[in-house]
Amino acid sequence: MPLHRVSLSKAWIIALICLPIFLGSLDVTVVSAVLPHVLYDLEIPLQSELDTAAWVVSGYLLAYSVAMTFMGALSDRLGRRKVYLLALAIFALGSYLVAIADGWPTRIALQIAFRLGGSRPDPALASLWMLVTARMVQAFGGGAMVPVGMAIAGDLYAPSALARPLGVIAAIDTIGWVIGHLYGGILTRFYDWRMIFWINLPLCALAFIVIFFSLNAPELSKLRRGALRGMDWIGAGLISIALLALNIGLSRETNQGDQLSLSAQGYLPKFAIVYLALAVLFLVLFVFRERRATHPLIPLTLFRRVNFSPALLANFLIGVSLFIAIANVPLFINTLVAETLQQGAWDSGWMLSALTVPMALAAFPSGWLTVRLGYRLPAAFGLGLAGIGLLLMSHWGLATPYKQMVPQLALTGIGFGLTMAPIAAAAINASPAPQRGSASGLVIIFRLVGMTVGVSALTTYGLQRVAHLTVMLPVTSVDLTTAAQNGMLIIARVIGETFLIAAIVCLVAILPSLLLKPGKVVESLEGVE
Amino acid sequence: MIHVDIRKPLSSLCFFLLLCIVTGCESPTPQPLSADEILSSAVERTRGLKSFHFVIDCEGAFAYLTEDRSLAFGRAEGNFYTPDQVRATIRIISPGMITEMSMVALGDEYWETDLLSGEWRKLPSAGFNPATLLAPQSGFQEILLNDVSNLRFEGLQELPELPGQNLYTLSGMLGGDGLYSLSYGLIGPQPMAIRMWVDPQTFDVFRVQLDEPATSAETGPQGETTTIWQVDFWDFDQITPITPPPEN
Repeated sequence: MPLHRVSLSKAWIIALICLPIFLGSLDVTVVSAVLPHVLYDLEIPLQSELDTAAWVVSGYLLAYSVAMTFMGALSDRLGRRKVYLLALAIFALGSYLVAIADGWPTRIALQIAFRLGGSRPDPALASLWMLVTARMVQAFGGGAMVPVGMAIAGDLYAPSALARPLGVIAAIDTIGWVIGHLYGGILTRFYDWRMIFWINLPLCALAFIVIFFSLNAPELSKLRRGALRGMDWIGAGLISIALLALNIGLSRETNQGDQLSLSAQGYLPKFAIVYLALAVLFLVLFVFRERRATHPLIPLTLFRRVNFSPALLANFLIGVSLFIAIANVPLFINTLVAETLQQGAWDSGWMLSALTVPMALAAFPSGWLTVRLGYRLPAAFGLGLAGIGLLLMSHWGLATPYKQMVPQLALTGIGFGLTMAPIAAAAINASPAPQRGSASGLVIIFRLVGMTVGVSALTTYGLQRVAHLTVMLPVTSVDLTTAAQNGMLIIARVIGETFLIAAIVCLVAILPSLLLKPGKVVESLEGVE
Repeated sequence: MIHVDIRKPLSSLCFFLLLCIVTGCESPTPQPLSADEILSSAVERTRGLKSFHFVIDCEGAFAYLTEDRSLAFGRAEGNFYTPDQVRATIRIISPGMITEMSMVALGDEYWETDLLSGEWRKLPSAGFNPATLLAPQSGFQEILLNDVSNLRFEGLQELPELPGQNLYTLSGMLGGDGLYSLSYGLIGPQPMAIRMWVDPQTFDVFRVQLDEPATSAETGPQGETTTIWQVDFWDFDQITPITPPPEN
């Protein structure tokens, strides 16, 4: 319903709410290029704590996805303005906590440990866990702003004109994580890594003040009587637990202190099976709950509509494959190519741009191609290109120069970019008009969950393979130089293998994309992603 | 002089309560000892220990493990069992990366984990071994007795790790020659400031801190000119004998 008492123009309001959404999505990938630098600064041993460190990335993706599932519904009840500002404040608080994670929060956590159990945690690990916790707080706020922002657009625009503002919000969200690594790499080149998070604070404060005074239409501030009672808290809890269990199940924990060999633990530790089973159980319970809930968080009827499920499945697999590339390019450069951490962050940022900038640029012709050719062909063609690009990347070695990497990254990026519009449009066009907001949100959530699964599974696989290959080496003396050279060769090989896995996942994603049936393509949805 | 008739229990109780209020209900302070007496008692206590848990933490200027200055010591945490058994995890700082390895030393036998895989491998003993540094009869304790000068009693202090527990605090100067040979050149040989925190009742040494001036080539990541070594001990006599690790 159009609002007449909003003091700003609709377009200005959309622009205003997009700024914090952009900051939140920047931070999805901002640490991927600078994570080695952060870990060095916190004195975190990579080979025994990489799986914990991966939570700095996967924890953000997880909390971001969880917040997206229910914060939009919460804003239906508490009012958009209030929930949006709350989410913004949580994001700013999380940014502050990340910036000072190894300062007073770690000292307080250690004091609590000393007083409670008499235990003495390793200060470096305590600071890493504080960093992960702060990142999750930050992500919860960042993720919540996306569905609430979309809901604000839904309040401001009539259904017939809603597609474009939703597309803008989704595009801003995507652009954020597409350039996040470059932004992180550039800032870290000139400043301490904490600056990435300090810089959010004045921007959030400014956005908070402007939104507080501008977004004051009664329709955006209404609070329904008994609002929180109508909220599907059980559903929100079930999906959160399911996603958390999935992430823990795919992670790997070493036995700290004892440092058991990785290969001795087998490829799927017992605890992983328990957590993965829990994830399935809670997902089933969530579906069961949503089918009976008066106000479900996710309208499950959408999944019965033509094209919706294949589109989301393809998007999930794209998320898995894409994030393996996004996480591994910086790992390859930082570990095997760059001479210093600053150089690594800088080079990683720019090299990843060779993947993500063509991806963003290819999204435009992909919309045009979708309108003319339908969903199936551009999506399958794009996945094929991305698969070939990843296949070529799987042959990278210690001697591979940047000029050889760039065209392969660009090919992969163009491939992924071509899938954006057909996949998103297939899902959104499959939905009835009132549920297109939910459909847009689900498109993003499935990609994010795919990314979370990708980063967790990749870390586990990578560490296991490194351990397995190292055991194959002959026993050497304590010649650390030789050990380092062998280690680099092994890491290069394992990263190559993960690119190969990403290529296979990409090619598998062609299957659901081939199930997309030709349908009416709404031209205004071209720019949805 | 206040005279108390102990045959009047109520009066005695009132006096005791009054005394408590005036003195802030503090537990009785141990009989004051000289700094040298505290140190001797602490060393004597340490010599009688069967086992303990330890953390050796290095902050500030780098303490290099290799001559080419490519690897620096970060931290070691583990268990010690007399006379020469140690199991520890050692954190190593290399350019651009922090790594960790575990080691077990049982007399002359030595095992360590591979830096990449974590697999245990038996190797000829070489370089820095925490067992040598910690051995009660020949290690750090002897250096405390023989090489410390200008020892002063600084009063009672709490450590953050032991809230509510006042500890004797000693300070002085430590000649670095003995420590230099004991630590395979990792610490010393120049003199350094030393501080110790000792339990007033048991004379357990909870912490030793060394402030070692760095050479110009050893400055830390932020240009620090001092290496701060903090050695913590706890779980006295609570560690079981150390067994060889599973070899592959």
